[in-house]
Amino acid sequence: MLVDRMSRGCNLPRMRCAFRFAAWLAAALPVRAAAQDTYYLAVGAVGATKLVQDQIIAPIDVRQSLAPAIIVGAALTAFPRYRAGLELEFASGGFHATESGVTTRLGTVRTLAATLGLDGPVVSRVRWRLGTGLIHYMPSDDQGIFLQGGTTRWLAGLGAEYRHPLKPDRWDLLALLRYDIHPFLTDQLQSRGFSQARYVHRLTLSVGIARAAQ
Amino acid sequence: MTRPHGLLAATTLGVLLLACGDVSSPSRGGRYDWRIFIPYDSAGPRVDTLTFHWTAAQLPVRIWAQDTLQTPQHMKDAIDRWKAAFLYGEFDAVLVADSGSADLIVRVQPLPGNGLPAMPGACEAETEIDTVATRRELRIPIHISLHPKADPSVVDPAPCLDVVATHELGHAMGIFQHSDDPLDVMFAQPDANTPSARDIHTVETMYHLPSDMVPVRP
Repeated sequence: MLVDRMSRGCNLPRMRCAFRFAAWLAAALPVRAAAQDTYYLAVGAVGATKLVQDQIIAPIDVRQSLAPAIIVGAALTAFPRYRAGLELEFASGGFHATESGVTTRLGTVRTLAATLGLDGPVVSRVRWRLGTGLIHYMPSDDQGIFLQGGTTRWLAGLGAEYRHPLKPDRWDLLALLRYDIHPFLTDQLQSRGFSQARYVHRLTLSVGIARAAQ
Repeated sequence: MTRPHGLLAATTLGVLLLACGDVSSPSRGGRYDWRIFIPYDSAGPRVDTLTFHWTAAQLPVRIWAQDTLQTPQHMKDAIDRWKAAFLYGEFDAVLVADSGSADLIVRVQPLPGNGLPAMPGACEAETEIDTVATRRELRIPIHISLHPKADPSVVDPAPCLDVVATHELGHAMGIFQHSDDPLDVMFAQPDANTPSARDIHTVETMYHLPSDMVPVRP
């Protein structure tokens, strides 16, 4: 609110404008430092849609199993109501191929997603988040679709968080819901004629703790 | 609408649009016939055309290789080349120290003369495909014979054995015919030591069809 009034009031004489700007800074900065900056840690699980869909005789799907995930993040106040932050999500789990109802385990793949995001309020304890960044796939073995190694792709995501204050204050219980989408294609798939990436959707649900920075 | 909420709405719309796309399978090109033709006469003279591959429950295929002329290393390279042909874990094999438990035995010895020969020059090789009591059974262990044609101290057989090891493992995997293209590793007199696109498409097809034959150990 102060920012909006400030911008509209700048047709005042320059001295008064500068004074009001200094007053706004003095009022806004302590709020920003005490109430908004935060860092957090959460653990949960991530589920994803198919990595690959193919057909040699019958349709073949490759997908990741539900994988445990750990999320760490930090956010600084960008505007009085909004924060900008960095979030890292690490997950590790199996992946498998399914053809005609028969499932073949293909090994383990780890993913590390890093997103820069903006979050803002929805209602009192619930906030939305919008993020973009990169996701890196790290297979346990260089074989099959990962014969030529892992892959790094861009990522875009949406999310929501709920915070419940704990005692002593500055600590919150945190529930995070994250959805993201990224294109998936490996060098090996490209060398075998897959010319287009497949869009993979992921949903992560996690709980953890958050702390407001002083 | 404030700027962040507008950004949120635009991103949501973009994500939903991306979610609508799908990707088709790549075109895989040509392949050759790999099946075995077995005459039978239980209801008059006929020929059965059968396909074989190792099933997931039978993997990894256990291979014993005689420790002569770097044969274990040639077989290990051959395993890696064929494994690289697959995207979805259809084939795997390991070298074992005990020939008694092996599914495939590789020896360096003279040709018995009734198998599937491959003769790229400095060596010859063959794989014995033995269909026993019924045509739907394949006797294991399968035997591969590698045979250097010249004195190994005069002519290095390694490049030739490298090629024929991959070729013969292709037979043991279920390719019971020869390709008609000299660029394929399954050509009767192969020069290539790496499966071609046609070789790859052939084994991919083979490993995604039901196997007609069951490996049996006497």
